[in-house]
Amino acid sequence: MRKICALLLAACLLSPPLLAEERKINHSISLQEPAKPAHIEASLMNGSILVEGYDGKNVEISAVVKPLKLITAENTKAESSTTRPSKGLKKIANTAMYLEVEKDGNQISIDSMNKNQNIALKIRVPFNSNLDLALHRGDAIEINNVHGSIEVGNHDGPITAKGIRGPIVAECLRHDLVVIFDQYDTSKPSSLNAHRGNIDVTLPKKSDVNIEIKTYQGEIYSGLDAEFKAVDTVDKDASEHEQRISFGGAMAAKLNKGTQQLLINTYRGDIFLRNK
Amino acid sequence: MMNFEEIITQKIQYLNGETSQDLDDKMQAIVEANPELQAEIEFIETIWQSQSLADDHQPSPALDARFYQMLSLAQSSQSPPTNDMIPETKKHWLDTVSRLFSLKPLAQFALLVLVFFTGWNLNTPSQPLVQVTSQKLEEQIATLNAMVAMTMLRDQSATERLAGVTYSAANAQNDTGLNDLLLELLINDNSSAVRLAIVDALAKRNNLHDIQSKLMFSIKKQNNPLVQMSLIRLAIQKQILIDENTLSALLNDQSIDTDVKDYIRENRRQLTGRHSV
Repeated sequence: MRKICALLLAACLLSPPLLAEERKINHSISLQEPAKPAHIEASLMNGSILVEGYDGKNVEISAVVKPLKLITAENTKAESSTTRPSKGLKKIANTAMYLEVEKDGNQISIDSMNKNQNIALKIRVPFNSNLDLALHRGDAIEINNVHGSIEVGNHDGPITAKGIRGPIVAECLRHDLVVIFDQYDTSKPSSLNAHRGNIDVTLPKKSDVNIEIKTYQGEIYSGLDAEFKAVDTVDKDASEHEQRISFGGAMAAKLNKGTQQLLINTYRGDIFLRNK
Repeated sequence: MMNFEEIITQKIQYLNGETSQDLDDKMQAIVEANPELQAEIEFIETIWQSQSLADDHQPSPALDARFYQMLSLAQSSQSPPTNDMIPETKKHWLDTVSRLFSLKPLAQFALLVLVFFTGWNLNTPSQPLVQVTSQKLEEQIATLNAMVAMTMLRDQSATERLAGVTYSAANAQNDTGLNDLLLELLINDNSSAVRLAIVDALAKRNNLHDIQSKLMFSIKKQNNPLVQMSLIRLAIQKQILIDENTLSALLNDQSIDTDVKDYIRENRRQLTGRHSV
């Protein structure tokens, strides 16, 4: 009996709808103007994104279509309701990859909105590239050693950005957001937001940054050489000779000259600020 | 004994006008007694008369001396003669007048008056003209700042739009067009970071009663719980009251995050203005 169950289990696991072949693609794109920064947009419905900066002029894309997960009860029900007979027919595993790559000058767009596939996307970009990344479901977004501006949002997973310079606008919903600055670019402000996840930021000691933090229920931990003070808002109504002072609401600290803003918002997540 | 040279010199001096006395009788007798001398005297007279040297105007010795002084100075220094070398001529009063009222001195005088006038007026700010000018200048600067902010806010990049929000908060808080754009982005911008920054920028304004209804409308339109809670906190901070029906609708909306609903419940009294009995 145990042998029969084991065999049945193996048959289920090995059945074509569940065991799709992994498919890999590799593609290299040369920039129209290699001396200027590339702008890479990547948007996936399901999967993971890894972007690495390197000392090169091309954008190198590799993608792996991962095996499908077990078919859910809902999917089984939908399949059994088909009206067309399939007896004698062989079911073909759909390994077609829905991944569009467009190039327009130095702008490269990578897009896959297919819900039924999990795509692990890896992109190697020149160091000074600008990124715009979005992941709706799946795993993590990871960025390493990219020195251009970064816009990144992960609805259902964590974000890790290391060796970056900013500016960065990043948003997580329920997972952690970890950012390690190699240098802090003061050309534009940066913003890090997480609803329930923690935010962990590492800054070089020489950064000229004015940090402003708002957290409703989270804690703040700091190893920076700067004192945090509550930002008070004073509203004055001159016509009615009234004034209203709101104490707190935000905590702020200035590192060195405090040239540029770094805005950090969480609801429940804790905030960690570290020195490099 | 008078020699021939003395006679010739006397003749030349007479012809030059240096003396009024021609050859006397004694000299004349010597000339008539010597054919060679007589020929020479006649030759000199002929030459003098043919060239009409006696009729030409010759420069005076004083003028001559000044000419040669100028020439030697010019040769030694290669510089034009100065006014004191040039013989003075009588100045006409019209020349003086035209020199004083020529374009360059007039322009210099006008500039001096303008600088004096401007400095005096800047030091007396109570002057209405200066106040009006200063006010117009401030308005133009504010308009320019608003235009810069609007350009940044319309950029495709979220980092640029975020920079535009912080720029507008610092430089152009009172521009109506800019505030309308910020409210539009509060509802439609796809970056929650930009929308959060807009809420922070609005929080710095003193009075939000003119846009109160738009702010409350935007709460329902938000898809990010952090932005929704920031708007609710803004309503509390600015004493913008929300009616019970609106609050109930938010609490019953399935798409609203539970954390947001908890936040509304915790601050319900402040939001509705109802105080405990």
